[in-house]
Amino acid sequence: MADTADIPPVSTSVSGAKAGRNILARIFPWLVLILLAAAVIAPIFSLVAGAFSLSRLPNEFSLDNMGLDNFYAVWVEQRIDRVIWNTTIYVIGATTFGIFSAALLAWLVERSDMPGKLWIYAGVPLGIAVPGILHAIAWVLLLSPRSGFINRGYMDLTGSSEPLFDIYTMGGLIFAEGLRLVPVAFLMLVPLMRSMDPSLEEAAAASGASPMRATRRITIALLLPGVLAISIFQAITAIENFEVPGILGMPVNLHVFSTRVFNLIDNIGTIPTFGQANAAAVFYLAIALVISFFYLRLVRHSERYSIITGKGYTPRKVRLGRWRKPAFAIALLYLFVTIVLPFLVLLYVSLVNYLRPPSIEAFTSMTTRHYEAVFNQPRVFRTLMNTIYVTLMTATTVTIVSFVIAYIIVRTRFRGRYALDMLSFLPHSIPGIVLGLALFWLFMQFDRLTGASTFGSIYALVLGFTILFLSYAVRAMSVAMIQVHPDLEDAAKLSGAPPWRIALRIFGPLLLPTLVGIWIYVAMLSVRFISLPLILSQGGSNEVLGVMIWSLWDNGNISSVGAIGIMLMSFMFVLALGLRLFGFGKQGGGAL
Amino acid sequence: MIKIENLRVRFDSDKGIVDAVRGVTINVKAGEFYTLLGPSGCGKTTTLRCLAGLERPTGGSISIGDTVVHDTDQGTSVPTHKRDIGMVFQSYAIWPHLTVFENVAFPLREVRPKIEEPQIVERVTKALELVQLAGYETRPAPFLSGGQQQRLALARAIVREASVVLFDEPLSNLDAKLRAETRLELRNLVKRLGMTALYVTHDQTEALTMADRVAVMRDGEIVQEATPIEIYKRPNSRFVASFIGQCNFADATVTTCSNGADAGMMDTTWGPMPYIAESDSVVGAEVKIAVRPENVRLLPDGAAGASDTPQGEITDTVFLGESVECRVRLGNSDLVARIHPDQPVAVGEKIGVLIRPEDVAILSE
Repeated sequence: MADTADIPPVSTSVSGAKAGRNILARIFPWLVLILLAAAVIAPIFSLVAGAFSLSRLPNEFSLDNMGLDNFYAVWVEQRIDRVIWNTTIYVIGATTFGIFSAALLAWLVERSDMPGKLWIYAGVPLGIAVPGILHAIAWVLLLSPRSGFINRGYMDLTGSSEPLFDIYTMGGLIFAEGLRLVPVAFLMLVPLMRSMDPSLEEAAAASGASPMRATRRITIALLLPGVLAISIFQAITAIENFEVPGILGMPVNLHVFSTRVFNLIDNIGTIPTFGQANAAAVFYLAIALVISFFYLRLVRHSERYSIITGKGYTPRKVRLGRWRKPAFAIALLYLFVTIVLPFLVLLYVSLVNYLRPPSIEAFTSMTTRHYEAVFNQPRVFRTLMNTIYVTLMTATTVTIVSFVIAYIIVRTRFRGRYALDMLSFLPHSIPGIVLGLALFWLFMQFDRLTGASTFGSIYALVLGFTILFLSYAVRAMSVAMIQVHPDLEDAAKLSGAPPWRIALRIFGPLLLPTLVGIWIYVAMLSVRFISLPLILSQGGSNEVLGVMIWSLWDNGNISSVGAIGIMLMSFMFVLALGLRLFGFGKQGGGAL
Repeated sequence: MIKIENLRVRFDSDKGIVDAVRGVTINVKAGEFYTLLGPSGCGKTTTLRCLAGLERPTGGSISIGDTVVHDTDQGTSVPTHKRDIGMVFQSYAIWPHLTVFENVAFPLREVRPKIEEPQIVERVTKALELVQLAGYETRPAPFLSGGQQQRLALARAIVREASVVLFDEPLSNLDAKLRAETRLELRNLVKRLGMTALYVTHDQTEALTMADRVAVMRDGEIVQEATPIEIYKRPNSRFVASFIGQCNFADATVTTCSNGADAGMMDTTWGPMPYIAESDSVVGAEVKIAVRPENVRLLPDGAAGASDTPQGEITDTVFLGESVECRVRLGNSDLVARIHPDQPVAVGEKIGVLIRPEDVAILSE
């Protein structure tokens, strides 16, 4: 066995093909870095350039016609300071409400003896299946001041002339957006609470601290950095959200940043002011970037507090006593309000023959004719195909690209890997509406110079979505890759497996849950997201379902919105169930 | 079989440039069990990983058998999967998605041209029998205990019958009792299969009990290379002496030279002391000496030769079960003696201290 005679002699000369491969292997990471930089920086550059452009339309852009007028107009005439103030209240309110609800649910599920935990644990994440636009529309149908079902019922019952609650207010905005933040916040908080070493609390008890003091001085103190980081993460989500403020705030001129930017280019009765929209978007982007910067600082800092040791703890459960049942009732109420209620409301409006409050008469008049009408429109079929195509393309592209980027960041000593890391995180802080506007300018200029028609094509959407969702996917992929011990790959190398065989036989199978998880999650995001396609969709060639729902709602075609919404939600629930069954294994979306 | 010449590794890490290995030269004969011993961060694992091709050296050359697998000057580097080696990892690196059988079969399935399935089954079965894991074939790998995983990793490393096996602290994750059993089993298995082994550890017992030859490393360099007995009895530096076992140290001045056969004399902080050394030192030379605690014999009053030895005073005793450690005041300083627990000693007792000339090691520092 120690005989060396039967070892095939390994050539020591470097053959030409080998040298070519080596050069390719060395250049490849740089290529990835340059492409990513181009994809992220080029749109931002054209956005900023557009903000200085004084031409009336983007395709009249010229370097001779530049100035600061747009910034002046936005700040002074459009009173962007009011929008900043509104946005601040909205973001702080929604984040506080959302995190508090999510923390309560996560605590009940992880650290208390509440009954029926499994239902809550499985149910809360399903909330991501409800698209923001449908969520907001459902609340309008329930709580709009005059015709909302709840308000109407209240006024009929009490004889009051004032509605119970007006959803077209800042309070309504905070309420609806806060509820929407809960599922992802919950998924981030659960691992945080689970990973707490119970001996830290026991040590406090052994040192003479009462349970209350142990909770305050140890549990909360240890959780605080993590909770703060998650809160800022959610604040970024809230500031970027367009759907909820777009449905609830825009009709009554209650503007936050995302709706104001959109309003400047899409306002019935006024000429679109593209330059001003860009100027506003630059302010918007700057604020989002500052918050993201703090998030990154905090996350890096909080690693020092890291209390995750990888051991499977079974933390002590807090006894709720007579609060057990009420706690479960509150958790169920959350599920009902965020998942069941929107579904039921949309189902109702899609089935009654014309829109009216629920009554025996209304229920007997139910019909499927709205569904038939929807299916008889060629526009719907085309939009559906567009949506499926965009979703498949985006999910696949993002999964592959994020795998490559994460691999370079985690597993190589590539010199530019920190730059790659930063660049792939950057899109997380670009709001969808801003990226939409930026790409709009970029495609306009590109088409003007080359005569191509990239703007209005379906690939414009795929590119936009890919940039937007990449940061999430790269983060999730990196986390999963770090957990695969490098020794597992090295052992395969030592077993004589060439790199591509290692990817196939070791890396692939071990990362499969993550790959599937990212694919499904990105697919869900691309169906849900409407701010970017709202700007980039032009006519039938690249209209997607979200945009169609938006325009149907705008035209008051509520029954069709209901019918399409129900189909969309059913599809999303299937995806969400797939995510829980196949994606991410048992850890839930710990990497979300 | 393994030839490493002037190996250098330099890392460009976040904390600046680190020279992990600075000019290591090793020559391992076929069938030899060679151990690299040293504290963490001494470069021993980096050296091993260079041999495996998992780390890229910045200088030097490595050959396995007759094949040059790395030569920085010529720009040669054979990728890991084409080197004729097997390796056992500290973390075991058992693939969690494969069964016990498939874990061991993996290296065989990567051989080109392909090996016939019946032959794979036969060789995997044999390897599993060798490590006493027969009967576990279909079990998912994560369901094994720590000791079983360790043996599975070993089976995977030997199944390909490579000429060299590398061990990266393979026993450090086992509990003490299991580690003691596995040490000998592992050495016997490697010897029976006639493999050449390079074994990296920070545990001196492992190095002493398993190796044919030991190299002690520090700060990326080999400080001493010798057989286990030699390295224990004649450490060449204070670092080696204290890293392998316990040691008493003292400053000394040579008063009469030793020529290797006859004892010389030196003045030490413990008083005058005879010694034997191969190399003849000069009279008046200042040296440092080391004496193992078990080589310090305590002679009670009236024992043979007790009157000829210098007298010390016992200042402290610690009962360790298998032995008793006595701190003895001798001359101007203290030293520790390890004696049989049956020997009666008491604190404050005056006692003769005997150190044989051949037990005095002169350090080169």
